[in-house]
Amino acid sequence: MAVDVGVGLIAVGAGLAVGLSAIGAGMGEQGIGAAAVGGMIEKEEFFGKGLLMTVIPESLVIFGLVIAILLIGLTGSG
Amino acid sequence: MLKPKQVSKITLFGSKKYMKQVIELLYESNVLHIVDFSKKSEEENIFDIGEPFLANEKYSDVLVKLRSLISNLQITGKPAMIRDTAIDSIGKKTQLIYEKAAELFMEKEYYSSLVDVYKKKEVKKYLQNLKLDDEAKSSNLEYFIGFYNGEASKLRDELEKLSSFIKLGNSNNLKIAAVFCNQKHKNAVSQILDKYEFSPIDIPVLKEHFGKLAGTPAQKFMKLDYEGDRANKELEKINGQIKEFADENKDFLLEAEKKLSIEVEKAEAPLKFGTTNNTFLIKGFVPSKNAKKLEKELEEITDGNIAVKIEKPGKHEEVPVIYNHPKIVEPFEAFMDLYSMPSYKEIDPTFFMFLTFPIFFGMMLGDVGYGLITLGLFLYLKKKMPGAKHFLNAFIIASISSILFGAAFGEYFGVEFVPEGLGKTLGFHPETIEHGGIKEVVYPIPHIFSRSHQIDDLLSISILLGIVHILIGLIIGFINVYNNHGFKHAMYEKGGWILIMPSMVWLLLNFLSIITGFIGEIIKTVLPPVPVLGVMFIAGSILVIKGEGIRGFLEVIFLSLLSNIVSYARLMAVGLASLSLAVVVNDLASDMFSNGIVGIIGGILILIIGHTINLVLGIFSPFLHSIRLHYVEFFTKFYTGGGKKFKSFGYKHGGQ
Repeated sequence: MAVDVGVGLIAVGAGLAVGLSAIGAGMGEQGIGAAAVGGMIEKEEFFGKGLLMTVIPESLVIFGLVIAILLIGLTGSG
Repeated sequence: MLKPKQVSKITLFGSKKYMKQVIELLYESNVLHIVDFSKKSEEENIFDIGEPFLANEKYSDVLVKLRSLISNLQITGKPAMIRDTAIDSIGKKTQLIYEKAAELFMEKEYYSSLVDVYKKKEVKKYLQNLKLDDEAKSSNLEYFIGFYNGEASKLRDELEKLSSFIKLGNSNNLKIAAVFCNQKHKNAVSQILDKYEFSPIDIPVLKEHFGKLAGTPAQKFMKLDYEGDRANKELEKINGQIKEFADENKDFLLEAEKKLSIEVEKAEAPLKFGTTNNTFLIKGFVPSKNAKKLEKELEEITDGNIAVKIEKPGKHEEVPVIYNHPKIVEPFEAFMDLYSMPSYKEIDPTFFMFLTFPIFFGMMLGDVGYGLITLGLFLYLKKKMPGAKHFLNAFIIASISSILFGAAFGEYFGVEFVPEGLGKTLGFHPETIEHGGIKEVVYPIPHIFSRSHQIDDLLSISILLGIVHILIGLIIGFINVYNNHGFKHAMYEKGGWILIMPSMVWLLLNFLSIITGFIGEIIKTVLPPVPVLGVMFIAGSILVIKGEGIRGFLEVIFLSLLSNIVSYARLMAVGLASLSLAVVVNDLASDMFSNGIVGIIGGILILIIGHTINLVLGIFSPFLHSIRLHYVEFFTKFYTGGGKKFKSFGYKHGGQ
């Protein structure tokens, strides 16, 4: 199927939005995750709060995803 | 349901004469949470922490023995019942069992170390090669056999004058020395060996063998293999005996352990009391509905010689928490415990979790096939692991919700369409979809909502759920603050955010256009006009900044509320990801099915592996994301937590 360059670039942009934000979130989570597991070993009750802390950077991916969806919306096809 | 069970503070003050009876009664009634006595105020200074009953020491001794027996004999389970046996007879019987077990274990120890010796192949081989000459056979011979560290040649030089027989070996990095000498050189030889960090192979059995060796040829060691086998067999026999012994005494041990634990707990109870020479003081909490009855019973048992004061817990007191939920909500208490128990003064959000967790989970997993499999899996696990009952019940509810959502989405293992023939016979309505410019007629399975074709609507619904969820959180927060600190603080801390909320919705609608379609239309009709929104936003911001200072200011300008709402987009994203993966697996497999018998086998393999992977992800990620939405987005709006569990003084039924 033929797609013009503009649409292609938008698709690349959408991919970058999700991909880069996922990398960012991963980098953020690695440190927190390690610390949280350490904390959990010391004190099991820490699970809930550890999980909370660990998943905070993960919102980045959701933002990336939303941007991607908005971008794809620009192409006019769902 | 939205508040923990009501408890009352209770203070008991009575004569020490009745302390024992009071403890018995409290233990029997199992409703009192005792707060450890501490000298907090001036008038409490006259009290000292109580001392355990004298019998305690005796009980503890027996209990230690019982527990060591239970763990060493590897007995598990719960006592069938607890009879009223005299403690003395339990003690005597325990002593007997203990002695017999000690004997068995000693024998086991002996044979297992024997087996260990024979297992040390290096030692064995080395010993086999020992050939003693005539002099070595003389009777007043001293022997040193063991490991050493250092240079072999040097050691040999030093020993040569003193010893008639030196054998230095080396195998597997272990240096072994066997030195035989006349008894009169014993000290000299041992001094030299000490320099080489000599450590004897110090096993009684080995010693015995070497004792016999004096005067007899070393060939005896040729029998080692035979001896090794024998030791092994003996060890097995002993293990069998121990097992039999454990089975024999299992019931008694479990019952006695439980019984004595209870006695020790009772005997140690005064450690939590305040006492003077003749009186005792107990402070604690009791469920309000049990308070009157307990008071009456206490007065009866002491002939009125006790002062009982029941009052409402103070505002800043740490009150233990008892959950107060109908049975169906109970599983979600596990999720609360995972985070932190609610405190006594605030609204207990477990019920809200019960409402929203399954919705979020179901919306993300949303597949009839997957839902049925997870339902079966969790039902099976529940049977296998009764300990995790609560957790699994929560997941069972979530699985049922997934099935319902799956039916609404018309998804069955990622299959949304049926082939034309089947579609026609079942009377499904054909639909035309455009796919990369090519028009195609498909027969979708009946559904209310199609996740794959109404992505925008799905996103809007997710965001709408987020708005509602966060709004509920803010309202609960408002009520909490209002109850504890009054209207003004509630307005500052939570009211401000509630006022800001509509402007965020407006942003989502008009500026980011994340909310679209019919949801957008509905929201547009309820949203006030822009000038009103502006005023609300400014008023809200001022309240928040006034209430929370610099932190509030930062949260307002960085639109933290907006990012919280957008976070609910994961409801759509996680679901779509799992659907896409399922579709990919199905497509791959259906392509293979047209390639003959090999293709069919390959296709089935792909289906099984692909769907298994997707299912594992499909359990973990909806769980994590759903629980995260509660912990991060929902709880941060109102929850303080940090409550302590109500632990009643008494016999723990079931669980523990």
